[in-house]
Amino acid sequence: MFRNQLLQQTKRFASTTAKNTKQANSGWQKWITAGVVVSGFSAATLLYNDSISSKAMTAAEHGLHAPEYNWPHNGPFNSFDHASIRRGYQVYREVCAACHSLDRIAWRNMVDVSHTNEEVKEMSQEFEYDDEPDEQGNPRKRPGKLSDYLPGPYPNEEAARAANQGALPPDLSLIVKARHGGPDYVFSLLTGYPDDPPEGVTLPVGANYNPYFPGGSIAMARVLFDDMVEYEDGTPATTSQMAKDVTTFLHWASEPEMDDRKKMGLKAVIILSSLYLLSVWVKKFKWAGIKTRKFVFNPPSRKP
Amino acid sequence: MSFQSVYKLVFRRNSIFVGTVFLGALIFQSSFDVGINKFWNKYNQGKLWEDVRYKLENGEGEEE
Repeated sequence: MFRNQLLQQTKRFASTTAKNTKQANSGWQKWITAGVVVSGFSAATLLYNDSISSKAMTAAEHGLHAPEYNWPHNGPFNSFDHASIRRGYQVYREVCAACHSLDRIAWRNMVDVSHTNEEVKEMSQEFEYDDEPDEQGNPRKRPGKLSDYLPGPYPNEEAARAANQGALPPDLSLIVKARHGGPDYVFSLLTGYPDDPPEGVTLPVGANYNPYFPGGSIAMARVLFDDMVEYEDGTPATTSQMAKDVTTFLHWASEPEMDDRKKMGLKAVIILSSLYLLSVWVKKFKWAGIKTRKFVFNPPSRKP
Repeated sequence: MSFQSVYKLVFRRNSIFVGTVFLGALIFQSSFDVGINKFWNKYNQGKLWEDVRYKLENGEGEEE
């Protein structure tokens, strides 16, 4: 059939047979036109129906826009607040780590960022990792080392889903980079759980309402409550303080290079801009003679 | 006059000229790094890991 069409199409370009093929085509061409019209109209109807539902293109559908917070590490010259990273790790370890993994951060990354070498070593040794098998081939375990990556709460994705009613808790290593609004969104989400969902909102079983989450229904319940953890430096552990600290920690986990990057950027901007100014001066210097050159034409004087 | 003395001192022998370039780069880079680090540490005082460690080593729970 298609080959036949092709044949006819090629024939069409030859002027002598053009009339014949047109007549032969007219039967199925009608059907195709009708099909295109029908599918076009039905698509338009579906789209229109979708657009007039009350949820379309609203904050309820896309999630509330998180307000901008004045993070201590905002700005081109500002480093992370490392005391906050330290407290944030404590919140992550005691609260978030029950469900969320942090695959891309190794213990060694935290040395001289939030904890000392000895502290991190001790923390890593509290976890067991797979070791090489013994002579009989039996699997063995060993305590963690600095070079190990942070262990997750579940062995695999299926186990994570099974433990959370089918919802997969996302890995938090890059969560600040992976969400619109970055740290503002994470902070708003953690602190934005209302006591009751607004009227008219029906949630699936086991879901919770959070206006900042796109769609509003999120599997994670509110987890941060006042005085849930006890900070070693005496900072009062309010909900927003914990949310701020853990967001700072997660921001650091997403961008561990940020402090160095900002410092390097400052150097690069200074060097490159001074080189640019130098090149402008050199150009002016070299062109000065050419630009100020004057051609003087002395007409030959006519001798009488 | 001054250019002439610089010329005599630096530019006349290529070995000395190249040596000056290398030495200058070395000195500039280290001093530039030190300067930037100083500014960075002053600008971010209280937020850096050094401050956290200092608090850890000299009595805990004294923050704020």
